[in-house]
Amino acid sequence: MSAKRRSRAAIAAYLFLAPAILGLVFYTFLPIFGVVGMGLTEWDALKAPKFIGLGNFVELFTDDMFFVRSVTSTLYFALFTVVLGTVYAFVVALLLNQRIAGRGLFRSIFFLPYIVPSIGAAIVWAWMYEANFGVINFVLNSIGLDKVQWLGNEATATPALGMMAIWGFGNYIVIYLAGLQGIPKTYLEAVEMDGGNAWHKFRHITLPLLSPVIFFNVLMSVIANLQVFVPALSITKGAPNGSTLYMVYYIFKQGFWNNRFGYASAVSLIFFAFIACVTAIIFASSRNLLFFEGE
Amino acid sequence: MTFAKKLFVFAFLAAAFIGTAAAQKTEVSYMCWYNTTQSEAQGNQALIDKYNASQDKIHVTMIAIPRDGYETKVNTMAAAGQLPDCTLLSEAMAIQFAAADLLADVSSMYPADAAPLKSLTFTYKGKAVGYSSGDEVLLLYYNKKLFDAAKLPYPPASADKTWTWKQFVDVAKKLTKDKNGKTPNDAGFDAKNIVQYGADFNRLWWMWPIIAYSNGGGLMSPDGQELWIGKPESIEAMQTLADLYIKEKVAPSVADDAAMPSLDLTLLTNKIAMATSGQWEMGVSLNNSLKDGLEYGVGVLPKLKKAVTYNTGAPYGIFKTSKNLDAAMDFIRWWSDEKNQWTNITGGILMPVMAKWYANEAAMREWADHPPRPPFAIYKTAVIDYAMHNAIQVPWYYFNGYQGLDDILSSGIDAVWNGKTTAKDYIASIMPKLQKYFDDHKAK
Repeated sequence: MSAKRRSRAAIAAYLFLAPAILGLVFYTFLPIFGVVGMGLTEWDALKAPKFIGLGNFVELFTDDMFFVRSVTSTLYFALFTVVLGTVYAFVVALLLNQRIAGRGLFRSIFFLPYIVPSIGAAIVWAWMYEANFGVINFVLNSIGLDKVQWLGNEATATPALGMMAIWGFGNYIVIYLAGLQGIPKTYLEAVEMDGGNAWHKFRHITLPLLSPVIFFNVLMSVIANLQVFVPALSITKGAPNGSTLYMVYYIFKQGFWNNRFGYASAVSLIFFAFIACVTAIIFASSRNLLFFEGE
Repeated sequence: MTFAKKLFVFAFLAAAFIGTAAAQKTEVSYMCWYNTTQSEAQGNQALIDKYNASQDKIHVTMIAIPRDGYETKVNTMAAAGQLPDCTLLSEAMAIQFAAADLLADVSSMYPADAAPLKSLTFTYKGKAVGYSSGDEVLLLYYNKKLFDAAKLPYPPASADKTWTWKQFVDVAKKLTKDKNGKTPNDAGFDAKNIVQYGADFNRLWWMWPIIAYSNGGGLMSPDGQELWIGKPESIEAMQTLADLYIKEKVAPSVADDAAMPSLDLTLLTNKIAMATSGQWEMGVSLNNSLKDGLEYGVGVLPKLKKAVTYNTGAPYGIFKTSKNLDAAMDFIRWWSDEKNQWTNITGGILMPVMAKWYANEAAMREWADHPPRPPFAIYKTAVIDYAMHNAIQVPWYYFNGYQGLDDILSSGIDAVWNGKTTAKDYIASIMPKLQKYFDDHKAK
């Protein structure tokens, strides 16, 4: 390729990339710098911001009565959702990988919740959890069990919202399925030749070869579920007793309800660092658990 | 010039003239919320069209926002420097905007002989910064059939006959039933399986402190300068309220309460015999179940020491940033005229704002003597007189940052309502933070 053609190709490439780059710069990078700046100010959005240095961060770690509750409730939600959700998505993917009648239909059914608008889904779930007339309590009642205040009780609110999130794990199921279908049949046949059973195939072939996929899904779902927001906003509003005051909702509340945009920015920076740390820990701790074919 | 050309020139000149005339109109933007359906916004738009057609100097454009995202939207517009000229504000936001010097002084907006009730004025540093769009008071509602069946007298409908707390609890006990039909007065009463609660005094964040005022305490002094929630009278009232569930066993737990359906269904299905809530329930909720046989009654709140209730109502605000303050005021003056909100007022959702509607019986009957409101004689003493003589303002009428104060106050309050801690210990645990927040935010 001549130098002229190469540079024309490069220009074309940059032009195609431009929308994505501009989007990233203006909607991601610049706002991040903006948040860093705002985090150093006291700003109620109604008057000019006042520079207070690290004052917001000092308050956050020494004087904020909601911060710890918010972090623990977020971690609880993420842990509950990721652990159960990973098992659920993996098992469903294994089942959907079998040769069963209506496999395509089942795959669509399990994927569908992922593309349902989250606010709409949250409202429907809230109705199902409704204590007096909700379908879940109706079923419990009809088999002789007591009604449960799913969303009004500290002990059940986060698990109830977690189940809602797990229901939407369709995208992870699809990724597991793709991973399962990428496992060469010859490996599985080799186990059979050696006299191995289904468990041996799963333990020694499927699981190791899928480990990078599991790692990817776990990492993505940890990040996504630490950022849980919609159910707190649309259903519980942080109640009961702060048990669903998840971090992103807390940031939103500080900013848009209490008009503390500077403080909300500081909390989001700490939250950003927190997610980065969790991601790094997952990376570091899983290095020995992953199996890459060809290494 | 041919006829066609003449016609064209005429049409062009006419269009230019109309365009110029339209351009001369002062543009005013008005922002408001709609609760559930777009039809509410359409109703408001129809009213604005009426205003626009009624005169040729001002043209109002409506910005209708769903109720849920309203505060977010207003704050975002404020941050972006794009506030509308005038708006409906949520009660908790009003003084925050006033403290940021964004709300215009509206004290001269109405002529003295056609002014709103003083009790509906949002005030910051002595200046009126908004008037409620409607008047509301807290009341005691009850299911008449349950009282008739138990042969009990109805709760009092006038402030001078207000029940003491003991009288209230005694009646509530007689109306509380477990699944075996036993009351808390009977041996073997099963408090874990109550099917009919005798009473529910609303523990909603802004409502419950009224009982502290009734005991000589309260949330803060009416001038917003002194925090009262730590006073022994306030703590005692809070504990008394918590004991309705914990000790007296006549009220639902907060979790059960949160799961109750709307007030009309709660009363209709005999879940609760007496419940406190706002005047608006008559037009928003209770009216829906009249056709199904609901016979509701209304009375005044029980008292600890003195008969008192809260009054409230979301205010209209006019932003100082507006370039058309006079036009915005003209519109709000027209918009807030009761005759333009007549359906909501006669339908039981709102009580009028202007003092003239309370001036004599004929004026009161004109708006109040209609179903779904109860018979006028009852409504007059239980609601109108009560509102005129026994109501105090919710502190969001004068305190900057009521929402933030409540964030601290409500942070672990369920533990008090559930009996896991006492009101005394709880208030002691949060008092330093409450006091600091209060001192930082009171008007200086």
